[in-house]
Amino acid sequence: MDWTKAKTILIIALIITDIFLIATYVQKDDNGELRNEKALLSVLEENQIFIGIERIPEKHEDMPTLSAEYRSVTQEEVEALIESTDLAAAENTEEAYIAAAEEFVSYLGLMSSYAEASTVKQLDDGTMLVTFSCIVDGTEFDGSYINCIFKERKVIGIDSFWLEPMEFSDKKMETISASVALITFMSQREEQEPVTVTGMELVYWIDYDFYEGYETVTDTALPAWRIQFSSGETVYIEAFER
Amino acid sequence: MNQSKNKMVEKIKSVVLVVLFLLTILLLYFFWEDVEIRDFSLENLRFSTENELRNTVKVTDVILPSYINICFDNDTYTKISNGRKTYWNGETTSVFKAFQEVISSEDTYTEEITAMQYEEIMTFISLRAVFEYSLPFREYCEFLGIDIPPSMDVIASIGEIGFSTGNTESMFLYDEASGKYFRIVSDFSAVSLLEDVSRQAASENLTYYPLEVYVGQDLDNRVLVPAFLETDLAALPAICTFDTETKERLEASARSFFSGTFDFVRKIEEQSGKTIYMYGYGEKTLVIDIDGSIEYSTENIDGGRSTGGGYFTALEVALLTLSEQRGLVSDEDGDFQPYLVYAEPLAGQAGYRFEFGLSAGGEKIYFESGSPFEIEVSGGQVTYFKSRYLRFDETSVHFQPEEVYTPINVIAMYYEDVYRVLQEAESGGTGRENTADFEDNADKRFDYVSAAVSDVTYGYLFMEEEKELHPCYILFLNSGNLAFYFDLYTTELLEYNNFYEIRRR
Repeated sequence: MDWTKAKTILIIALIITDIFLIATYVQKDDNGELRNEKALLSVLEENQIFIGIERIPEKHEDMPTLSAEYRSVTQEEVEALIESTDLAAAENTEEAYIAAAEEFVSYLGLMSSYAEASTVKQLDDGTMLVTFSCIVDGTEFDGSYINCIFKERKVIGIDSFWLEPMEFSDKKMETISASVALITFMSQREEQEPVTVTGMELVYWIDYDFYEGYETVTDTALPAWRIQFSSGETVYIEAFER
Repeated sequence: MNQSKNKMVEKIKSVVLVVLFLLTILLLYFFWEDVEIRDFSLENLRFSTENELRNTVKVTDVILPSYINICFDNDTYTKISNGRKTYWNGETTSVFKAFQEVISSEDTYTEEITAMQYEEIMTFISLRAVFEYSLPFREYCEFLGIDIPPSMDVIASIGEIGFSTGNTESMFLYDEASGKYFRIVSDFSAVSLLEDVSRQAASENLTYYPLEVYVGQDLDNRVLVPAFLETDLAALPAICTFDTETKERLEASARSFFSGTFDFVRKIEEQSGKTIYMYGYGEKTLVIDIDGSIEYSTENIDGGRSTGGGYFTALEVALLTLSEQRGLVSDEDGDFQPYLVYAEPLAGQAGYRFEFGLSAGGEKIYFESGSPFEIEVSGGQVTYFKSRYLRFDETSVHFQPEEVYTPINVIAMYYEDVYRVLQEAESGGTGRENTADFEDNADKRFDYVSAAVSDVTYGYLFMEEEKELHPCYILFLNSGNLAFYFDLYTTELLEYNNFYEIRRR
């Protein structure tokens, strides 16, 4: 056999080997996903977990971590601003309340390009609450909020816990699917009382259970699946695949 | 025309063949190492550079006696502390080589002797290499590659190694773990070793006498005190806080605690300047504080059930971590020479705790908070690491020599303060039971303090508020569990440490 033929045979053999290795690698990667939704629902129901949403989210992309800076204002600053500006909603509409709240928060220096008015609601005592959530690249930064409180259309106070997003990590990490998050929740829960899932989405979240710093300046939020239940309870499952 | 076309085709095939071959190697690497393609970097394929290997602190660099006592033929002594390395394994004298020769002799005889016999033989021209940290005998011999005969199985640890002209065919050994003394007879003769050691020591070291000679009472502890002391140690300004340049190194060093990456790591910065890195639900935590302290802890993977290979494996892991974190503990350009201060099995779980010291210009540095480096190893991994960052100008250690008060003067001047602290500490626990109270008898208080002294030395105390390395005497009591620091020039009592409490935390 001459070297020319040998090279041709070697090239073919290596191509076959590489195709085999790539196929094995891809298949290994896919094995983590749960593809059978019916089987999943059945398992969840056996464990008293019922799905009250139309579909379990399917999409989950690789995500980076998010560093954020704590921003706050003092009660004195809020009161001084209320006295000096006497801001009020122009009329008794959601848009007017939002506009007034945005103006007030801007005067306070808290307004951010990531703040989006998410709810306007009336509380039991008759006050109106405009809530700004933190949305980063389409993902909610859970736990970062500003509440602007109105009484008779006038701003009477602010309740805020605002984390200003700073930067994403250079690297994105793989996240678990919603199905895996539900299975994780199922394996972690101790009680067996029936629960119904009413909402499920990927958010950025800081777990304060394991460390709540003293006068923290910056922190790091990691992606998590936020699972909301009909009882009003919310559970977070860390979304990074470790 | 056809020929040149064929040549071109063959060249292309050769290139394709090489590319496919390299691709196959790479894919096999991903497959076998279970590495994600996105995680791959050329760093993964890099071998350790020679520079990295050279900078690792080796086990043989730290397994040294804490000091070596030499007894001369005229009832005088000397104590070698800072230069002990040259006596332990130097070019002209090597106690280490003598130890090896005795242990590896084909024909040895081991017998237990009494403490009195041991002390008596050491009154001849002799040397004692004292190890103040736990050193298991069998494991040390295995580490040195020496098979010891079954007769030596009675020896659990090495507390002291001695040679004496009173019996030059024997090596004497004090086993700290069992409190027993042994004599190992072999075909090795210590004659030339003792001649070389005593000649060299007499020419370059101060004269010491036993403490009991000064205080006029028999003492259980054999403590040597210099007859007079002339020293040239200067107070050194020292920085323990991080600046901008060191903060960048800190980030790189911090990363190494988390397998080289901050993936999945939560970073928290507090208003005080403290930075916390946390992996998972506190599975790994690293805290870097502005006072220069760095503390890392992790949950033990196997729950602390396995040592992960024994004392020396654990020590190697500890030294590797210490070497890797060198940028966190000192100026990288400086001479980094840690020494072993403490080594004991962990309480309640398999593994070991090691403490290392630091020196400036050859003089040991002592810290108010205890040892500057604390490392716990369990299951083959570091489960706890604590260090203090410190930077100073080593070239300014020495200045005009001057005579200072001797340690015996210091004890005489301050024994009341030491007694008070000793009483308080012993009621809280120092490992020694206080069975007496001598409030009404000053002589008995002095005797009580003298009997508790286990070592006297001098070096530097890092004084945090003053940001200074301060020359001082150090008086160790209760087997080193208590330490008192006195200004070397004014004898003022500066500080004291209760190591027993620190190590029980």
